[in-house]
Amino acid sequence: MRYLGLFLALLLAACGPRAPEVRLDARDPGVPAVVDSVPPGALVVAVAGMLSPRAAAPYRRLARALGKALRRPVVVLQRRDYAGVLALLKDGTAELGFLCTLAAGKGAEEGFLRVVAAGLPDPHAPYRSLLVVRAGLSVQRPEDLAGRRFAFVDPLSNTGYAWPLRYLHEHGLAPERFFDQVVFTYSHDRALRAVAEGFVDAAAVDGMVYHAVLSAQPELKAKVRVLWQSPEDPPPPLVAAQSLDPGEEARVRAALARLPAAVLQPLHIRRFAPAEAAPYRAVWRRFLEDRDAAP
Amino acid sequence: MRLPEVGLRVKLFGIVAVTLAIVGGGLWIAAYFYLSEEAQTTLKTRLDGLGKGLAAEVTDDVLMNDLYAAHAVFARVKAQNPDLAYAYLLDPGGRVRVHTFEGGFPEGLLAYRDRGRIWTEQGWIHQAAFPLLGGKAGTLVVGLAEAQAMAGVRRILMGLVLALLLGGALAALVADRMVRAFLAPVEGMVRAVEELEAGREAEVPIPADELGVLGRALARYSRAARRRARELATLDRLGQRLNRTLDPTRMLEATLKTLVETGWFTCAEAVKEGPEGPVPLVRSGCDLAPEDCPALKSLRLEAPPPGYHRLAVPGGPTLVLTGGEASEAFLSAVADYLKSGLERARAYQRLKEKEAERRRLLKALLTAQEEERARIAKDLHDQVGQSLTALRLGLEALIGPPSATEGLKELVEATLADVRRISRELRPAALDELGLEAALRRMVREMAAYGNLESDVYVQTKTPLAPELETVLYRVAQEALTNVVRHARAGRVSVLLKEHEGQLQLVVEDDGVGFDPAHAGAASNGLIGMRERVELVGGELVVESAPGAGTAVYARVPLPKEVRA
Repeated sequence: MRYLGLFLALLLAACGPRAPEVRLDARDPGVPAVVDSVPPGALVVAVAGMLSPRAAAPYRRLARALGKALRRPVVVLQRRDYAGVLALLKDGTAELGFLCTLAAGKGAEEGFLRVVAAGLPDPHAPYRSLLVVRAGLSVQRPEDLAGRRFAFVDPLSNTGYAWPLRYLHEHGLAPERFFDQVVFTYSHDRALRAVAEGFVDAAAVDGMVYHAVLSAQPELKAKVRVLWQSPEDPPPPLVAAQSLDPGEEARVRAALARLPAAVLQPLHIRRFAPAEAAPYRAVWRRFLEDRDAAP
Repeated sequence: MRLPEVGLRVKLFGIVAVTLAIVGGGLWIAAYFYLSEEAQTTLKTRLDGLGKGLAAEVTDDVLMNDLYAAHAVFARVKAQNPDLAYAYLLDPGGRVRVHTFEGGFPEGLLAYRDRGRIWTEQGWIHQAAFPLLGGKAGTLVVGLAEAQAMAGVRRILMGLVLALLLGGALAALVADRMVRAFLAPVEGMVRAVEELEAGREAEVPIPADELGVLGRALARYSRAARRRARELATLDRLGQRLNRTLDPTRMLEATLKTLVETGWFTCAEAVKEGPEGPVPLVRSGCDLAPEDCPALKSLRLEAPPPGYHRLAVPGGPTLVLTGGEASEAFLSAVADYLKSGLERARAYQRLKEKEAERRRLLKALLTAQEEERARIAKDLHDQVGQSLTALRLGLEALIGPPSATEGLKELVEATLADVRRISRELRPAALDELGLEAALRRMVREMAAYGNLESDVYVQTKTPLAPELETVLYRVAQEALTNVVRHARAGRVSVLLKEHEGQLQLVVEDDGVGFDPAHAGAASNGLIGMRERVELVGGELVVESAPGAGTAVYARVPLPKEVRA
């Protein structure tokens, strides 16, 4: 009787679902540890961290729409900071790049990229630096933020770094002493969330991104308030690596003009317009002057 | 089921071992299943945490298309988690983009991306898939090896086995001590019982615990056994003594003496109910005179006074026993012994009386026979002999020269000789006239002559014998010689009669064919007759013979005491 039980158990074990068996050491060397290939003829577009990777989906859709218009496959590359994106354009990895005004100025000034077009912002969301504080914070002017925690976006960000520095310098304040603590968030949406969540007391962000984020996440509206805003600057441009064929550049411009509004709207871009490098270089130079004149 | 015949210690060890095996085995199996289950759950939880953390960490890198950064994260996490078998990243199209393997991706692995548990050459691997941004950014698959978690389980189980063995050894040790403590009083009792068995004095120890019941029972039993042994020894001695005598009085004496000697009673007496009250027959060990004895006085009562045993022997006297105690069964056995002894004595007495009667009758018969023979012999000699003599003389006077009547004369002569011989054989007048020796010599001579034998006779007696005894010896010799002449085919016969140590010994010896005394056959009637005659006068008859070795007849008769003196 007891042997019958054992026999049934063995029988069940033999008939039961067999565990999948895999040999881990039988490897296909054709699959490298990192498959980072770019399809032949693909358009490589670098996207700077105006928006964090998760929030940057509109830029990726924009890049894909551009590729579709050009009838080329698209590969979108992002890097943590603007310097990384500039490096992609400088070494020719990327052909096109969506950049911030200051970084574009740097690239143009250093001569490894050309400004192709500028994304004109919606009238209600002009491109400017907004100094945002937590809604409950009882401050009237930026000078009241002394001894507070402050979030910058990126050392190469115009609205998120250059403008607040400029303001402090104009008022004879040194940021490293003025603020209790400063952090870099490497994207405008993250800087805004850092304020809303109370991680910092204040931050400087891009006006276009501010509106884009608030329209995507209306619940943030009650948590932040704009303390100060800068004058408008040339809006963030689409740049091309210096190596890009001028004929292709012309085709890109034409394609930009054909982009549907639905792709541009989430970014609060009205349309793309041809642009020159000069205003951007001017912004870069202004930044360098401010830095050198720092107290 | 029957336990094999092993010691109590072995049995207790067995109980400990079986209990430990059942409890420990059950515990071990339960621990195995519980710990395995626990390890699997822990592994699943860890896999979930690790995978979700890793997915969150690499999502940005994947979105940024910075797969080298994702690979660096993979490498770091793998270094931090030795049991991480692998992690790989699939793009939304299901193609492998980043993985942790060196030198390529395992060929079959991708086919099992949806399975929770797979078997590999490294053992079982728990696997789970973690979609990045709901799968839009791709899917992360992480595999954790079970081996390390199960190695922990195995270590615990080994520890458990060691603990069980240690516990078992301790339990065995304790059990051993317990058995020793338990058996110590039992061994004491066994030793005491062995001493008692060997017939030595010993006190059975009575433990204070539950074994005290056994101890008390053994003590009771040993007392009963000692008493029984004493009773048996007494009965044995009584039996031996009763067997040594056939005299009822001596039997009574032996019984009373035995009961007093063996210490059962200090005073024992046998009484007989008489018309005037009890009459003392025999006494043993009694200090009081019979007329002062309260038992004797109270014997008439239904119940004797306390301390007195009244033991009635069926068909015999009553025993009155004082100064001791004995069980009813024992006393009844004593009474049975005595009763059967007395019955034996009575039977013997009756037998002896019948034997005496038989001898008396036989003697009378033989005497009558002898007298009748003597009368016939006298008649033959005196009347037939005279007539034949007269006839012969008449024939001599009638006939002158020898003629035809000579034959008649010879016939008369022969007839006369026969008549005289028959007359002698019937009752030898010589025995009455000349005595045994002369009669014996004459008979041997005549028989030898008749049987054509050589013979010699040796007679040596000093004491005058009673006529009755002489007749017995003469007749025995006559019968023996008749047998020699008729059956032995002997060449020589010798007859010896002598006195020896208060006995008369008659030996008749021949050198004939002999016979087997055990198969005497027709000759046995003669032998029986000889033996009857010898035993009638208190003697004995022995016949020694064997085929071809001749025959010797020995008759020994005691000389009467008054004659001997």
